[in-house]
Parts: sequence; structure tokens; C-alpha cells
Amino acid sequence: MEFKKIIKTIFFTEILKGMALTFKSMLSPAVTRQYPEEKHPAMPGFRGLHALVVDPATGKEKCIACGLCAAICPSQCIYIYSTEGPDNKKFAERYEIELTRCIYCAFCVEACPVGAIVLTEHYEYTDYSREALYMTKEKLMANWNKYMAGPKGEEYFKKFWHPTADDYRAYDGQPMFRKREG
Amino acid sequence: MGEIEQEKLTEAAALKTRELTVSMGPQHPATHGVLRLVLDLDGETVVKCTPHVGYLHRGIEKLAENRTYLSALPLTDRLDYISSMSNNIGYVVAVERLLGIEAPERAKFIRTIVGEMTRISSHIIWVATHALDIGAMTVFLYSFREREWILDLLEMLCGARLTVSYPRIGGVRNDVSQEFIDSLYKFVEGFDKRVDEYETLIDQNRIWLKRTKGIGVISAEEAVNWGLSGPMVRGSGIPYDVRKYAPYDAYDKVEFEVPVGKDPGDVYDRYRCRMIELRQSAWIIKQCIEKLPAGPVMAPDAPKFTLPPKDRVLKDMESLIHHFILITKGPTTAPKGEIYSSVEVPKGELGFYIVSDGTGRPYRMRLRAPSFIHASVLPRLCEGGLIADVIANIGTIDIVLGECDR
Amino acid sequence: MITITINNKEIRLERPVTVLEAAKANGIKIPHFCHHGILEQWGGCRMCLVEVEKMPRLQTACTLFVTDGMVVMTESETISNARRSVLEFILINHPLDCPVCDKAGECKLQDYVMQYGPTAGRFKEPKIRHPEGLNDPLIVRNQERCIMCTRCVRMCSGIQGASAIAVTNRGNHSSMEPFSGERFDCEYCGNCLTVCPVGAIMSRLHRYSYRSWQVTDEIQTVCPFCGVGCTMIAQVRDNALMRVVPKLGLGSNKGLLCNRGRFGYEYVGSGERLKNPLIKKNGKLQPASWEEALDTVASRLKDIKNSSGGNAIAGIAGARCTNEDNYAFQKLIRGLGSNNIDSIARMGFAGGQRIFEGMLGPGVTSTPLSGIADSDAVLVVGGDPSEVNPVLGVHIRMAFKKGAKVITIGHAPGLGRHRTAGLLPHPQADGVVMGGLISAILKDKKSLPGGNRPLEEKITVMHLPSADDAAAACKLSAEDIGRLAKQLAGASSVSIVVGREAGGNKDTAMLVSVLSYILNARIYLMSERPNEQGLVDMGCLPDMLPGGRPLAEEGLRKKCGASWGIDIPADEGLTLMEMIQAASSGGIKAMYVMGENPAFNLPDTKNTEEALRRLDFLVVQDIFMTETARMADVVLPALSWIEKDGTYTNAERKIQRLKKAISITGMEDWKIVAEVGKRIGLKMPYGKAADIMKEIARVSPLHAGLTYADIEGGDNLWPYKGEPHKNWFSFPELSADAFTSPAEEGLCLMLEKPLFHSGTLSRKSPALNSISPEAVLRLSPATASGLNLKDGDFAKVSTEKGSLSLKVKIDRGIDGPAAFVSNNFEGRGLFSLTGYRLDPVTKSPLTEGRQISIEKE
Repeated sequence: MEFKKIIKTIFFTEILKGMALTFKSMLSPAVTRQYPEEKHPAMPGFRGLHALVVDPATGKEKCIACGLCAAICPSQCIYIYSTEGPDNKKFAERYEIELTRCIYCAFCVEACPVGAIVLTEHYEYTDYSREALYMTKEKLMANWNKYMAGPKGEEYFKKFWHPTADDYRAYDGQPMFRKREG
Repeated sequence: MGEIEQEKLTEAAALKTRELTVSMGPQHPATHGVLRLVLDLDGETVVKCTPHVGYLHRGIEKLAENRTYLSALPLTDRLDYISSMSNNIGYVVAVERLLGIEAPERAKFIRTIVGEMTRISSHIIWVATHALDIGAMTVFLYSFREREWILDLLEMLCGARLTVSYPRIGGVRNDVSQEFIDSLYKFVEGFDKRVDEYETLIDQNRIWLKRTKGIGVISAEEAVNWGLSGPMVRGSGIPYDVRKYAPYDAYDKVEFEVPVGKDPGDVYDRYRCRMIELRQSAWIIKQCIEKLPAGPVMAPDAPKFTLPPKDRVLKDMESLIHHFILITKGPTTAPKGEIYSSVEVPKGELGFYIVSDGTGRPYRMRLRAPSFIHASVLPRLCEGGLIADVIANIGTIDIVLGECDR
Repeated sequence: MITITINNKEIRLERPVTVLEAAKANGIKIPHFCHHGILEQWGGCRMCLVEVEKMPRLQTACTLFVTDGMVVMTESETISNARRSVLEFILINHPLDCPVCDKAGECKLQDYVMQYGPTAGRFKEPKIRHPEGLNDPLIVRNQERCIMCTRCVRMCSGIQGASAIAVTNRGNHSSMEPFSGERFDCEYCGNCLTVCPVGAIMSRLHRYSYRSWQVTDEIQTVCPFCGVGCTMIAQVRDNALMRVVPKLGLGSNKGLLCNRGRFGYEYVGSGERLKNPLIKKNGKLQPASWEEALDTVASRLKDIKNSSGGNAIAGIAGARCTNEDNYAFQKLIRGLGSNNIDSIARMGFAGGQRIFEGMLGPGVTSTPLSGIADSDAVLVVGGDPSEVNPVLGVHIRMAFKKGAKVITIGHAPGLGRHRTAGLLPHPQADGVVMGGLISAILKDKKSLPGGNRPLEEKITVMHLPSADDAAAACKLSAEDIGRLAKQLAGASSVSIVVGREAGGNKDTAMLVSVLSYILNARIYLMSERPNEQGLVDMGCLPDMLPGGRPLAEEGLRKKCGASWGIDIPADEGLTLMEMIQAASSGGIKAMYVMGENPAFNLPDTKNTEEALRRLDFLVVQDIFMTETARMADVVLPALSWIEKDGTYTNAERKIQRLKKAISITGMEDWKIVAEVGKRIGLKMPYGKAADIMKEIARVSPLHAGLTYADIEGGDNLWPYKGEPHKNWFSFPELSADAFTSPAEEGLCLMLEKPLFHSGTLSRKSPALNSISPEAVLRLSPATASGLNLKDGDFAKVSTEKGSLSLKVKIDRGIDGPAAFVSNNFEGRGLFSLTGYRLDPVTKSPLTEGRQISIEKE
């Protein structure tokens, strides 16, 4: 034991071992991602920029201005000013989200009873001005058209609008541990 | 006082040497956030060390009083932000105990899995930065490779990488996917080897040993008296772990060991504890995946406290009302009372003391933040030591100021 | 003493109450929908079921009275099952409306379902549909949401006494409908909205514009419309008024409101509000800076004072302004060396009060409103309380409901269904009827009470008319008068409610005093404006200083002047109508009008307008461009009631706090006055309204030591913490013609005090305009058919002063040959048709020239 220790001290074995590992890693492919040249693809259901769902049938927002998203919002960054529309229905005159205060918890999506708000997978929207980060109803609806329109949006509500009935029961094909073949 | 000493003192006064006060932080790369230490130095020896905390105070405890039980959850993300999942779990476990509900078995296993994932990611960051502070840079690069994998997995699970807000009162937000299980299993299977790599780099490294052995020594008795928890108390030889002593989630259904350090209880002992915990966590995850039961992920028997499923909300009046009230006023049927409940987060014992007055909002929420308690022991560790070891001591207590200042 | 046990808790009770009340008083909550503290018990919702030992079934706690030894359980398995079933049944047909329903968040149904209800519905059948009632401009009915608790119906018939709504149809199909069909034809008090526990009947004003949790601030303040001074809550979001709601049980109104208070607040946000000071240049009002406007006002006033003396300056204070505003204003006018200060209170309130106090002692009108409902008899003279002061009217109706005798003298259609007798003499013959009543009562009582010697001497020398004369004047039999006199004499607690027209006439006011004395009755003065009493107390009178101290007493005058640093002139100033007369003869050269519209609100409009035009300098301070403001040389924009702090003194003489709920740029009335005051060298160092209150507390002996904290703490009843002025009894002489009934016959023009309007503010409220958009000529069906007029016809109404073309409205509430025209709509006011004569004592203008001719157009 003592002898081993002396050898170790003289020959720097533990240091050499470390260097060997470093050398080995040098030859393996790099793991660093070269952002922004190389983008990180967001996973489906990523909690990114907000969008207000546009009803393809009418071209108007699905939002009914119930205010539940604003009520649950932990950072209180959603502002809704509702009024009576010409058809005597309630609608959001102004629907605004202050992105600089938002914490992207997606509770608004969960609170919405009609599925009118989503968080898109888009995450690159930094800007130099606060105005650009203050989302108005028009901007939010444009976001939907840009990032979520079509089957993608439909898919979103099927998969990421929780809690679903499946969350409250065991269902067929529930993900389980499976031994890898071989 | 003898004559000679007296003479020396007068001499010193004549030379006009005096203690130097150095303000370290709040902007300092080695203080892990916005910790500020005021150090009184006599040469290189630290005579007095005064930690100043509060630079990251956001009033989370007070904010929670103004939020419903549900919407206070994301606040806990921002305590120890590198292990947000553990804080979430601590919070929902406390609220579940307060409300008298229980999450379904599958949700408990999933929470155990994600809790241990967070422990791995937190300990990885700790070893990376701790080594970096002391002078070993390579570990940092290697360990962040694994951390990235964990963050990707969390993103796959819930759509967020850092501030996850994934657990829910009565379960978890959503079920895990097959892809997640497979990928995670692959990760834990190969993880021991990764830990070996870190150890190859520093475990026996003579500089590392010189910088860590015999530094920041605290005895078992003292550690208990200071109220230390987690690896801080385990490093001094006390096998205290909330997961063993008051099991929550699925910890009573898996096997794992509580590593303890050897006698002196120095920086190196705590390092060893954490390295063993990394392996233990991987083992726990592996067991959980293998034992993961089928079933619901949200408690089906607590409709007064959990949001009704979306397909019922706009079809069924009772569900709509429950949804509406839970969102706007919170669980208004919450029983009156108070609860203290704690979980083992990577930093130590995170406790939630919640007082309920029967409304949907906590009347009072108090946090027992391990980082705060560990920050308080810093003077005890630093005083009398060298200034260079202050860095090692800050690293070894593994504090996150978000949690410390709240 | 009754001892009962609720949930194993022993409770001792003084008197038998219902189980629900007993539980509530002891902090035990029993859920209920249909029960309401101020409504009759009904027991229909079945939510309050409790278990009572030895009773085989569950009992409704709201209708079950406690008996000694009763053992009640409010929570048990059986009870929660029953409650769950009740809620499940209610929800069968309830629409999925929570996300859009305005009530959501403060809805009792939601709360109870969360607390006691089932968690998932079992009924899959389609729900019964019932379209929303959107045909009414103010009230939206959504009968799908109705839970049939009938609170609204019980409020409407039991408390408000309007009986405008009822439950129609049966079972699942029952719904609450107004009798008038889709559109309400009622008093629009909106008290049904207050009691609705769900969103079945709601206000349209703020429909869909708020959620209950968006309220950032709730401010308790006082209604700005009439002298009852109802307490109300202003709810604010982002510095904008969201809605004004009452809180049941709060204030002397106990949470009741009238249409003006509830729906009239929208004028605050009107686009017509004045924003900039205006100065007349080249005959046109043009925007100017504050600096310029204030300098102009100060320098012109100073010039006129120097050239023509202080007496050439007059001020009209505002009955809509706070005590602080009015105090500062009278200080300014007196600082200019003039006692010519008066206000609209001169129209009947101030004079009446002076006579009552002079004959019966100070503070005689300081009577709590709640006393009316507890009276055995109520006598109403000279106005219709349900229109002038609707909440006071509701109290009279409540008294009638409890069995009190209600007698009205003169037109009071609002009490048509709530009175024992309505005496309808000629408008100038009230005196005869009252004299007759007095003589009949005296005959009954045989002797006078014997407390007030001078008054009794006065009574003995009065040549009172006999009951027969009185009966003849109002076309009744002498027996009827005798019976009414007996009823009054026999009542142990009598209230006399006096309107502006009776108060302004010294003869009727004296007779009211006599009646009050011999019946030991309380006097209630109707007050058309929120702060008429405040005007009197703040010294906005030509012969009074703050605190009701007469100017004539030199010591008091000197003391007051010394504290202001000025010499208050010794001679009394001119009263309201005298000022107008002096302006037209050139005696008054400058006038400062604050929060008043004399060009429209004073009788004989044309002459008043002419007089104002003759002034060298007219300053008008208001929130809207009124008829007077258009003639002004300088117009100063002020702030509305919700935008300023201060106090109002209501007709009960209760001081109440007004609180600022929203802040806009601009100056409060007192601030503008103080700025002008500073420029003419007066000491007015006021930073906030409380500073003025401090000065009032120092200067006025009545308000000595009074602070806002005292007022909010409940020290707000006359005589506060100060001293009223004592020992100034005065007994005017009755006029020779006090008991003569005028011979003139034929159609008589009467002033309508419309329920939905009260002047400048109300006509800028879109909601009030939507239910009462224009001036109309109200005629009884008989009169109309005699003139061959139908509803909606246009008729030309002419008097010797002028003529107006008005739409005819046939009103079954009107008796006798009277034509009613209001004085609310621009260019269509009754005062443009009538003249006046001044009462020699009260100096109130008494309407003259009531004979009219009506032609169909």
C-alpha cells in the first residue's frame, strides 16, 4: 500500500489517468451544440411564445373572455378587457400578455375552459424593446397562424391540454418499462 | 498578558498593521449567485466572516398567501432553481398532506423518478462548479454533457427545461411517454460509468485532495446543532435522510443506501457523499422505472381539489363550476389546520409549513430552506482558515441563493 | 331565556328567532339561497335543511323558530345528501355559462356547489332553453340561470313595494317575468339585482365588462344624487369606475338604492365633461390655461370689489359640492367683502328648517331615517318622497306594510298604493287642510302638551279652520277628516315628511311645526340634492356663518372673521332670488357660481337668464357645460363626486365621508376656490380636503374637534362633538290668507319631480336617459280625454310666461285637474313657464302662474 502510494506520488499516475480520459474524449465526437448556427429543436409541447387560437371556421379568436387564464396566472401578466359585442356576446376587447413578466408555467392553457390559448414551440423572440414583448390580441392571433395553424394546433389540444380523462384512469397502451431486446 | 506580548502589540501598532476587510460578492464568480461575504482578514487568515443574504429576496412566502394552492406552485420553481422539480414535489406533498388526499401510485413513482433526476442534475452542477472553483475545469465540461441529457428529458416530459412546474396537487401534470421511459432508462444504465469518469479526474487528484481534505471540518455533534441537513450532515457521519425517516412518494418501495462521510466531516467527505448519492439516485430511478405501475396519474378520488378533466368541463355543469372555482378561488373546501412537511431535496431538508384557514389560499406559508441554514454555518467553516479555502467552503455547502433568500 | 343546542354547542337566546338566525349569530354557517335578512321568510330553496331531534324529517332552518331545549345538527350524512340532491336538481337545467356570466366568482350557487354539491352531473338530457331578456335597456334577465329562490319577487313586492315582477308558469318552466312583458315598466330601483344570488337578473350597464376578482379597489362612498345620502361601494379597476353597488345592511339605506344611485353613475365617464378652463374672448368661450383662468377670475373680482364694493359680488354655492368645497367658497365670498351667498337650498330646504328650528328647537330635523319604518303614522306634505328621495319613500312603504297609517297631502303618486288616505287640495290650499287637521286633533286631544309655552300661545290665537272647511278644500267629508285626525292623534309614533314646497312656504312650515308639536312627531325634510344640509351648516347663507351661527351676533362674527383674517361685513346679504333681482337691476355686478345651474334650476327662467346676462362678470365652476356655464365669462372645470375626498351632510344631518376612488387630472372645487382665494390675498393654505375639515372643526362650534376619523368611526350624527346654537326661538306670523282656498279652478301646472332624473348629473347618464329620454306632459286619463289627447300626442302648453311643445304621457297615478311637467331637460323645463313670488320669511320662491292652456298640436 505504502509502495503503491509512493509510486503514485512519483509517477503522477492519477493525473496521467485523468489525462488519458481527456485524450480519449478528444477523439470522440463533440457534444457541444453550436447555437445559434445549430438550433435546438424544441420538443413537442414546449412552453414557448404564446398564441391565441384562431377558429378556422370564423377567422376570429376562440377566446370567450372568461378571464380564468388571468385569474390563475401566478405572475398576473395577462390583462383582459372584455365587453359586450354587437351580437350581445361577451368578447375580449383587449387581450394582452406581458412577456417580460410571464413565467411560462402554462397554467393559462390548463385554466382555459375552451382551449383558446396555447404556448407554441417558438422560443426565439428576444428583442431590444419592451413594446415588442408586449403581446396584444392581434399579435397573439398572428402567432397562432404562424406557428400552430392546421393539424399542429389540433394535435396540441389532443396531447398537451391537461388534465385529460386519461390522466384520471389507466388506459390501453400506457407507457411502461419494457426490456430492451437482446 | 505577558510583557513580551505586550511589547509585540505595541510594535504592531507602531507598524500600523490592521485587519483588512474584504467584501466578497454579491457579484463574484465563486459565490454561486448573489451571496456577499464580508471577510475580516489578518494576512491570509480569515478572522471573521459575515454572510449577507437577501439580494435575491422576492417575497415568495408572502406571494403564496395571495395565490391559490394551485397557482402558488410555480413560485416554488424559483426557490432552488436548479432543482425546481424537488421543490415542486415538496410543495405538492405538503399540500396533499394538508388537504388529506393522496396521489395515485403511478404518479408517486413518476414523482420519485423526476425527483431523483433533479438530484442528479443538481449534484452534477455542484461537482462541476465546485471543481471549477477549486481549479479543475475538465469536470465541468463532462458533467454538463449529462446535465443536458436530463434537461432534454425534462423538456420531453413537460415542455420546460428548468422551471418545470410538473407535479400537481394530487398527482402530476401529465403521464410520461414511452420515449421518455426508454431514454431515461438508457441514461441511468450508463450513468455509473459517467460518474466513474468524474472520479477519475478528481477523486485521487493530489491538488483536489490538498484543497479539500481537512478543510471546513465540522463534527457530527456540531452539524446537528447547526441544523444542517442533506449531504452537509451526512458528510459528518449522521445518516439523516428524509427519504428514509419520513418516506414520501415511492421511496418506501425502492431500495437505496444513505451514504455517510467518515470522521472529520470535511469538504472531501461531503464530496464523497454526493458522488455516492449520484449513483444511488440512478439506482432509484432504475428501480422505479422497472416497478412503474399502470394507473391514473391524477387522484381520481379528490374532485374537490383537482381540476376536472377537460372533456367534462364544457359538457357538465358540476365540473364547470368546480373548474371555475378551483381556478379563481382555489380549493375552498380545504380543511382548516396547519402542516409541516418536508422532503429531501439535493441541498438537504426542504420543509413547508402551511397554515390553512379554510379558504383556497394558504394563510401562511413558511419555508425551511436548507440553503439558508447552510449559509449560516459558513462563518463557522471559514473562520480561522485561509482565504483561499473560503471558496472551497462556499462550494461545499452547495447553496442556491434563490432558496436562501426566497 | 331559550336554550338550544346547535352542533353540540349550547346557545342562549333572549327571544325566539329562527334556527338559521340563531346559528348565524353564533358563527355556524347554514347554506341558503332563498333566505335573506331583509326579506320575508319563504323556505323554498331547501338548502338550509337541518336535523332536529325528535322531528322525523329534515327541517328548513330559515322558517323554523327555536323552542327551548331544541337540539339541532347542521351537518350530517343525511343533510349533506339532501343538500347534494338539491344542488343537483338546480343544476339540471343550469346553462354552462360560468365563463361568460358576470356573476361568476361572487355567485352563491357556485360556492355552494363547490362546498356541498356533487362533483359530476348524472343528467345527460338536453337542458331547457330560455332566451336572454335583452329588450330592457338596464336590466338583463337570464332565466336559464334562475334558481327560483324568488328573492327578487319578494324584494319587489315586500320591500320596494313596486310589485313589478312575478314568477310565471310552473315547475321546470317557471320563470321570473315583469308584468309589463319583455321590458320593465317599474321604478328601476334595481334592488332585485342586489338580492339575486345567481346571475339571473343583472345590470346591463357593466355587462360583460368585469370579473369580480378584477376589482382592484373597493371604496365606500355616498351617493351623489339626493339628500338621503345612501352608502354605496364604488368598485374600481385600473383607475376606472367598474360599477357602483350597494352592500346590504350598510348605511342608513341598509343597502337599498334607487334607480339614480344605481344606474346614474355613468356621467362620471361622460365625454361631455369639461376638461380645460375656458375664458370668453370675443364673445366665445375658448380654452385657456389654469394660470390664466385663475388670474382672470381673481383680478376681475378684485376690480369689481374696488370699483363697486364687495356688495356687488355674489356667490351661489353648490348643493352637489362637499362641505369642504362650500366652506371654502363662502370664505372666499365673505373674504371679498360680501355676504351675498346663497344656494339652491333656498328653494325650500333652508327656510323650512329655519322655521322648524325656530319654533321647536335646534336639531329638530336631525331624525334617523330608520324611524320612519317604525312609525305608527306617517304624514307626507308638499312632495312625493318616492320620487324626490326614493329610499325614504321605500321606508314609508315599509311602514305602511307594517300597518302604519300613511296620509299624504298633495300629489304623491309614488305612494298611491301605499297610503291610508290621499288628500288632494288645490296646490295653494295645503294650509286649509292642515289647519283643519290640527283643529280636529286638538278637539280630540282636548289639551296641549304643555312643553313649549310660546308656541302654545301662538296656537291658541290661530284662527284655525274647522274640519268642515278642510274637508271641503279636498272634497272629502268632515267625518273622513275626523277619522284621519283620530288616527294621527292615536298613534304613538308619528313621522311627518316635508317636501320642498311645504318647507318653502312659511305658513305650511309653521303648521307642520304645530302638527309636529301636538302629535310629538318627528320631522323629516326631503332634500333634493346630496348636500343641502351641508350648505346650511357651512354658512352658505346670507345671514349665517359656519355652524349655524347668526351673522347678526357681533361676537361670533368678529371671532370668525379674526380666524380667517378678514372683516366680515355686518349686514346680511341677499338671498338667492334677491341676487337674481339685484343682478337684473344692476346692483350685483359679478357672480361666482359653483356646482349649480341657476339659469335652468331657478323659476322664471327667462328673467333669470336675462339677469345673469346683465352681469359684468360671471364665473361658473362645474363639471359639465350647463346653460349657466354657456353664459359665463370664465368656466372652471371641477371634479366629480367619485374623484374627490370630502364630506356630505345628508337630510338626517349625518355627516358622511366621500372618498376618492379614481384620480384624474384636474382640481377639486375647494382647490380652485383656494387658488382664487390665494390670488386675492386670502389665507387658504389647503393641501388636501382634510385640511379644510381641520379648519371647519376650529371655526364652526357645531363641528368643533370633528375629524374624518370621528366621522368614519360613527361620530357623525348631529350635533357631532360640537355645540348647536341655542336660544333663538322665533315665531313668524301666519299670513292673513293662510287658511283661504284659492278660488281659481281649472287645469293647474305642477312640477314633476321625475323618479329617474334630478338635474344636471342625471341628464348626462346614458342609462337614465334610456329609460326616461325626454320631457313629457303628464296628464290624468280624464284630463287627457277631456282635451282629446292620446298617449304620444304632442301638445302645446302655454302660460302667460311662454309655451312649450311636449309629448303627452297619460299617467293613471295622477288625480284631479293637474298637468305635470318636469324641470330636467334642456330647453324643456317647467320653470320657463312659471313665475314666482318670494315668501316674506323664508325668501323661497313660491311658484305662481299655474293656470295653463293646453292645445293639441
